[in-house]
Amino acid sequence: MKVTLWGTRGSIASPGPETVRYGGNTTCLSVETNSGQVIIIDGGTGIRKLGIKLMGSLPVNCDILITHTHWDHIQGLPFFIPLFVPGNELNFHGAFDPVYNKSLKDILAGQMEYCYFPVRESELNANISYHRINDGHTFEMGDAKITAILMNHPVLNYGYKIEADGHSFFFTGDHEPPRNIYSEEDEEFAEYQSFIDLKNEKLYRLLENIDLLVADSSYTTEEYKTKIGWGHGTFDSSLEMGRHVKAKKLVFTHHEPTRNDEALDTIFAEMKNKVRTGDPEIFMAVEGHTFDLSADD
Amino acid sequence: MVATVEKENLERLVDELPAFPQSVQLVLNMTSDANCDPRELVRVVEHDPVLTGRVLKVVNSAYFGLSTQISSVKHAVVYIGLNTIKHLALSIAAVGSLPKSNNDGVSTDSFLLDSLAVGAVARILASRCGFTVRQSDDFFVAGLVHNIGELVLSLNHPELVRSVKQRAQTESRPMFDVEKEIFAVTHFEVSSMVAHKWQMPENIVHALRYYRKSPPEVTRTPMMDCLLAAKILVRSLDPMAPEMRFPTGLSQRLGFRLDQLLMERQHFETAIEKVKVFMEVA
Repeated sequence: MKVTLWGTRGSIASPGPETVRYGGNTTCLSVETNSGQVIIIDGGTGIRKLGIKLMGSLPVNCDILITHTHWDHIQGLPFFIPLFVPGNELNFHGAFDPVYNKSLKDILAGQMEYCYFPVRESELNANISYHRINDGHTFEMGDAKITAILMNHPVLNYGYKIEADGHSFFFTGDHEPPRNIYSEEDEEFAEYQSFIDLKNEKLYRLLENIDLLVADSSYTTEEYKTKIGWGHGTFDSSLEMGRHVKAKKLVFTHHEPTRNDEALDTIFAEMKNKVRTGDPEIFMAVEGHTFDLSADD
Repeated sequence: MVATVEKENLERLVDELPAFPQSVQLVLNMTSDANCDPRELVRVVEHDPVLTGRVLKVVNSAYFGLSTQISSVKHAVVYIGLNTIKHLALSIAAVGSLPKSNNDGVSTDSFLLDSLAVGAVARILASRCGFTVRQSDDFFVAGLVHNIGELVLSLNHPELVRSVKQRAQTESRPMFDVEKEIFAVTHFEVSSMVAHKWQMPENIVHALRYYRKSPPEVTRTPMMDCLLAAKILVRSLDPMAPEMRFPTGLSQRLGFRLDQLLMERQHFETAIEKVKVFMEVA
């Protein structure tokens, strides 16, 4: 199983000489099993380049898992060429929006309406299907097994575990480890904490001994102090999660758009100093990099 | 007359049921502030039967496919996230609020006060019966919505509800007896239907239907008994309300008597006072 990072930036695409090494495209990953099956996660601007690659071998048949529908995770989709080509088959999977009662199709079609984009969703020529994801739901896609789990973000966000070829991979999407909104002296503290513990236990059980964990690490712990509730993790919280679930490899992703390559180098050096024996091997997400899990066998 | 409370009709009524005026105002104020205190938001949702019911309906819906139902607003917040709950509350508040008083003469404030008081007392009684904090919260939710059927009926059939009340008083009969004749359904059954529609856990749905009166084939649950005891206790603490007694068997099942509880009235009055303070602040 190979996992490739096509977009590693959070919030907004940030191209330029200062971000050229780690990349400026927003979130998109692909998983390729040994049999050649491709599963895409998220359609940030990074998906454009993946689309060009996939067009090299028609027809394109693949599944696209959407963690959530914030712009940086879907804005590349109108530029994903396989969607325009007859004979291709693309199956989208993602959450239903319970606030506005919108299906994934409604939401994705929304960003292709007349005033935003010249081609409407209904004019796309590929065979496209949409599937609603449920929390904890496990399903097969070819030779891969997928499990979705609700994470914590200001909109519904599913993390996806993909198992294939004897390997496992998990992507958090955007995720802030849940925090107790009460102070320890509040009478509600313990009860609220028990719900957080339940949620974390469920996540940790799913991720136990994961081979590759790609985690939202938008902020440093210092920066996080002013970003609480924004729905993103820190380098430290990701290391903590990787440590807890005994992940073999941990990748820090969703780089802040304001963070240049040099700043990411500095943070990575600091994180390496925090790694203890038994911790996962850590990586900073680099656009275009592929993790070949089968090569580790 | 039966047709007026048909299931489809009821489903529509429940879907369109607005929240209480106090909470609507608070939600609208809070959601205009990106940094609103999450604890306050939870408090407001927890103190409104409609907001609570509709939030639970979403988290327990097929969209999530939960294996066990969620019955607590706090759990819902942890499960789907604070911002989603905030926007759900806003979407409910944005459609308007219940009128200040129903056409049958009951003020929305008194209705809410009774719901919150019964919920608060039911939670204390559950805790006294040995239930955990989390389990006791279910008793609070049950109390919070125990009377929602009466609200639904009075909003939609105010004239009929008024005549039910008049007849019950004139003929000295329980209200539910008269309701059965007029609506072919009691407000307990409607409360239970609403809770079911809100995808509340089955133990709550069941308790709402039978807490006041259960046929011999229905086994009484601690939730039914605590709800009934809470209802009686709240009435007993109100000097203006008619005197009520624990029905036969209730004290034995609960392990305490009404007069014992009334000796500790301060404990319960404090809980009810907190509810009143919330409503005044709101």
